[in-house]
Amino acid sequence: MSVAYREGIPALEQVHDEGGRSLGWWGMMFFIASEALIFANLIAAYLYLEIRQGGHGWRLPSEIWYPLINTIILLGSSAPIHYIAARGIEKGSQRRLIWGLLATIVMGAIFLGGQVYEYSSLISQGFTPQSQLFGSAFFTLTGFHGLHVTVGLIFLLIVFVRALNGHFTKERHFAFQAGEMYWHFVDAVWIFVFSIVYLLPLLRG
Amino acid sequence: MATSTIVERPALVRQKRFSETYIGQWLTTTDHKKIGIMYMVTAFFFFVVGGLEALLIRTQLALPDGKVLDPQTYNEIFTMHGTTMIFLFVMPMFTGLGNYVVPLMIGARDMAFPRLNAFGYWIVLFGGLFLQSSFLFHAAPDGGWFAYAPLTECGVQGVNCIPATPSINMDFWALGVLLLGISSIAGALNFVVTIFKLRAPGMTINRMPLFVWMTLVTSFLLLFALPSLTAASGLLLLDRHLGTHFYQAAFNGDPLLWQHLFWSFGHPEVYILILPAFGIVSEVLPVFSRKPIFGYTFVAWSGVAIGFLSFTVWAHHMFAVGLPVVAQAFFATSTTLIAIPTAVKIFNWLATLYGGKLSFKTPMLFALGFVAMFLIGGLNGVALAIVPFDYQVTDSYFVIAHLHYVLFGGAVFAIFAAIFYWFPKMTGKLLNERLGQIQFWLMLIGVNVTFFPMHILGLLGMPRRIYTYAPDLGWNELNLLETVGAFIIAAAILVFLFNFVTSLRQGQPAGSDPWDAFTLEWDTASPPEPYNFKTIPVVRSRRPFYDKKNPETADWKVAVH
Amino acid sequence: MINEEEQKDRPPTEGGGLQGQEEEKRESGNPGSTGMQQQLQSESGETMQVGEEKPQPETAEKTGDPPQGRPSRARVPHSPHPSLWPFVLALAIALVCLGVVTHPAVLVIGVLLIVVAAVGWGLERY
Repeated sequence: MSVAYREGIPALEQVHDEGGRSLGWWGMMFFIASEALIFANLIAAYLYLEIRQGGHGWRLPSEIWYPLINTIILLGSSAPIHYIAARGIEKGSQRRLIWGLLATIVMGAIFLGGQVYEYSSLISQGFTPQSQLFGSAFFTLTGFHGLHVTVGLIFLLIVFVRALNGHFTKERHFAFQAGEMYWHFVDAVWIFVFSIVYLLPLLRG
Repeated sequence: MATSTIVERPALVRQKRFSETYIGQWLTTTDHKKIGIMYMVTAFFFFVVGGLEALLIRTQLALPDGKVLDPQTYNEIFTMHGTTMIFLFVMPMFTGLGNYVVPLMIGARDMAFPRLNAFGYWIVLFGGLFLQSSFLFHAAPDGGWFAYAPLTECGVQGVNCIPATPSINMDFWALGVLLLGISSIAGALNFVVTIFKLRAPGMTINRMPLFVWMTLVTSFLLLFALPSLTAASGLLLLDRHLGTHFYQAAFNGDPLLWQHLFWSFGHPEVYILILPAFGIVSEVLPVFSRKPIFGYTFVAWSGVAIGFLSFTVWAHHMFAVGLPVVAQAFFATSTTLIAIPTAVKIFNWLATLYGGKLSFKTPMLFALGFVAMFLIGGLNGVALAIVPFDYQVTDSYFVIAHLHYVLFGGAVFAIFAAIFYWFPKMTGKLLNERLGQIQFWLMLIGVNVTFFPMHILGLLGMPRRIYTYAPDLGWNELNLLETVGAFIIAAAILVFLFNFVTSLRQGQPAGSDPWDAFTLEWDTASPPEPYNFKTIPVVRSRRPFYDKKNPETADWKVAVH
Repeated sequence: MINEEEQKDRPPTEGGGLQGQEEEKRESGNPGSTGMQQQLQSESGETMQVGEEKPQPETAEKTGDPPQGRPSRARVPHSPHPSLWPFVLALAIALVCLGVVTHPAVLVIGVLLIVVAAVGWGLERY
């Protein structure tokens, strides 16, 4: 993942480019597309197994309000990185970049902490990956997303440290841009995961 | 008029850095040509490994009640033969060829992400060594190259769970394909960005050489198909080690889930293995027919059509598991649909030959061999799409015959066409023509002697992957014949290796354009300088180098492109 | 990419097509270059130009005064910088896999090596 950023041949890019997106942007985009398809496959597997079982027992033993709040925090975390940090660095403001990043990182960390808490309470109720098929599917899908949140956080932390050291300028901040793209991706995927894991059973009543 | 200038910083005291030593040059290179060569050499090494495994299989099956290998080793050998040939030979070979040729063909100085490119290569090498190192642990993968669950389930002894493959054998496989998947994704997104963003001025999408087109389609297939394999083998590893139940029927899991996930990767994968071959043949045939390709647009877009259709056909590998009738009808239909764009290509190639001034040099021979062998493999493939027939021959040697006609008669013939065609560009030497012809005829005979009888054996009911067979089943003669054929192929490969080594040492110098070719890669020195083109060429038609050599009859003057 | 129409309209004799091989072999740094100069700034601060004989004054202005390199060194337009990190990172990832199936010690070495390689790759400037 981190291999895909800041790697283009700037010289070549300038020869051929008509002012479109940078090479790194395209590389990141295709990388994210491929990642998204791993999620698509996991979601397909989840739904396949759920349907094969007729949906019986595919409901968490816990309430939904807690993960809902967590979801709002995660989705909300896309706002500061976009509206404060990205808009800021486009105008050359280091301060807005740093604060925007910090807000997003904190919100992401809260989400991750919330997920750990949710896991531990579920496991204490005897709902584990081993206990039943739904457990396997639930922990795998949300866990794989949690892994991506973790990777995204590490990515943003590196960007944050570099931002503190003033590495980014108005013109050159691709590492930040890549981190932002990845973070939006992680958020967007969660909308699908959340809908399928938490909301779908409600529809079934 | 060309100018290229570099203003260096004030002279530094220069020591010889690691990246300038002989070994360091290769370890640290980010030059697409060197990486391409490393890919190809590595792939060929694994081809020899996989080939030796194939010879062991054929030796075991030469006579009834064979005892050359023990049953467990036999399982390991056929699993590794398939895995090696697909993931470690054909895929890296095409990635390597693409790496070398694509930037040259589109007039670029390198790939878009040179370090990512190098990373992709090293992952292939280490991933391949990792997979093969399983032999050292006496734990080579033994569940077949498609690793069907629940046969591959239960690494640790669990409750209600029979450890079918209890040792670390299938862990090697699952981790190995995950590794190789990383490499393919890295390579594929590099190709896509390179082809979209780094084309020379005037090299519009509709002027790209067909090999570039097919590499582009292949890269998209890789990007969109490999995630299924990643997900599938990830879940397999979780099942084996963390006690989840995805593929375990005893816990309401579903073994069929593996098959769906695997084949929704696996079918695009077979086009990943053949589309670049289409591209190679579409480059070689026109040059040795002295004509432009017939129906460029159709050849290009039929490749795209194949790419799309390939995502809709996966369950034809699963007819025998008892899918609903509607699903069987759907997948049988979509599979037969693929025959249409494929046939379009075949007719285009034939029309390219028609009325051309054919010269039967070795690359041309292999390309023609490809068309013929692939046609056989395509026709018996369509037969397999017919559900009742598939019931009859599924998991029999008929399937083996089909897949070897398309992968050996198809992909490998195209690979040799490519090697003979581009070897002069890569080394500056020509491969020996006479040895090349000998190799071609040996291979053509060997392939047909080996794989054609498999059709009959399949119809006679010989199942694939059996360890041995009783002498009274009527399979003896044909099996012996196949083994003879396998050794003829091995002889052909030995001829090639001899040719390769001698030509590299004292081959005839090739010059920059030995075939009087049409595309930009021949407009460089042989081998090209690290930066490929001193000045980036400007393209005005589909055959830019032809235009340059024949300014009076240039394509852009004559034809509307 | 240069506009397709623009390519077609230009007469071929003006060298808008492919550069002749003789021209390529000519000594670079030729002061007679009056055509379009694309000045490229690579990250290491090297300045390089790729010129084509093609009158386009608005882009020619961008080059300012094109520095004429010393003939002995003025040759390589561009090639990517070598790097050992891809090799190390790939080795590290393979070691992690090997560690998973064999011994945790190998796993630990692999993970440490991944960290080293990722940091090295990230900090590399070229």
